[in-house]
Amino acid sequence: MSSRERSHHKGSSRSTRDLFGLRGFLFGSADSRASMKGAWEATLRRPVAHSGWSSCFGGIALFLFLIQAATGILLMFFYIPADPEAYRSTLYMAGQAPFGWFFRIIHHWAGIAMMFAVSLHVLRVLFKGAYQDPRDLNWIVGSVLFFLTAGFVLTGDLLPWTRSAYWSAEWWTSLVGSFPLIGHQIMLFLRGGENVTGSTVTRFYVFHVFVLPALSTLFMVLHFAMVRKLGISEPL
Amino acid sequence: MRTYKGRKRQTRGSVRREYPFYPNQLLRILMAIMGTLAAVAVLSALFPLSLDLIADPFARPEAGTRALWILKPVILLGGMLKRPGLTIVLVTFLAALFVLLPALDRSGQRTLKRRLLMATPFLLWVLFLAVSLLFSVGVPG
Repeated sequence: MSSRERSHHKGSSRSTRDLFGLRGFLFGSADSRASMKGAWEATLRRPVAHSGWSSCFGGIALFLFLIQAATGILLMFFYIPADPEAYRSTLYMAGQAPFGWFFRIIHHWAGIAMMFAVSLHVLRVLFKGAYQDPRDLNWIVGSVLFFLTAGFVLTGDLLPWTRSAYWSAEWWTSLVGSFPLIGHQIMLFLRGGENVTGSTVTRFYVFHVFVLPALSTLFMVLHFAMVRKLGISEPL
Repeated sequence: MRTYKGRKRQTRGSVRREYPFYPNQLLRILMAIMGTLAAVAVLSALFPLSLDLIADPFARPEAGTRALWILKPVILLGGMLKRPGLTIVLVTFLAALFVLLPALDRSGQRTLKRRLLMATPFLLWVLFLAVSLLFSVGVPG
């Protein structure tokens, strides 16, 4: 084989490898269609302040949100948001559905981990004083995300329709109901009536799988856009 | 893979060390994510989920029903105040303070004392939540 043939052979194997490799896909096949190379390189080479391990909590929270979305979608295949089917479908999920127990327990613990990851992220921002100007608007967006995360925990708890979940929901919706002037209306809206019933489960399900994820995604996009613009807060 | 030592940049009299996002920061986040996954896996293995009895809207709350861990601080506050209306107003007020913190602290100071003052109430809340969670998980097996 001549040197020209060898180089041609080497070149073709590289192009085949590039077609299937991640780097080749991003900088070759995909880039020729979407011109992403510049954006990728700008993102990867962008200088960030050396802020240590504590700056990872935001990334961890995002990752856990994605885990929650993936396991949540799988659980939705089996779950029925009504009384008493909610409990029966959870029972089926836990005992009979293939890998249902696995996705359910991962969904449970990843949810708790997400709440703590977000809390530790908030704690870091508070300790660094990074809520001050120019990151003040990002603090407001981030704090809304914090309350949305708590909303996921509150609405998700009732979905198995268990005794403990029922009394927790009964207690906190009653508490909301005692807010002056508008509390009772909010309580009726949350419960779908005067009491916690099957329609409350349906409402919490809608909040848990549609309303809160949509709002969270919207606020996350805003949050990341501002983090990208202003950068990670500098060490003090 | 080659990581970078970073470069120093002088900003407002202090030295700021900068790194490229890749590989330093990205690898750090990936390692933290792996650690989190391991923690979730260990917790899932050690504390399997049990399913409580089915909800009965006509029954009375019995001993053994456990409140949701995230509600424990509010339950404690409600127990101290003894008035639900006042409790929810206070919780809403604290939430509003939390969201509007940048408007309340416009000093621009970042001294250690000030940062500790801002972070300590939230740290106590996180610790309280962690303890609440610890006491709400079931016994393994």
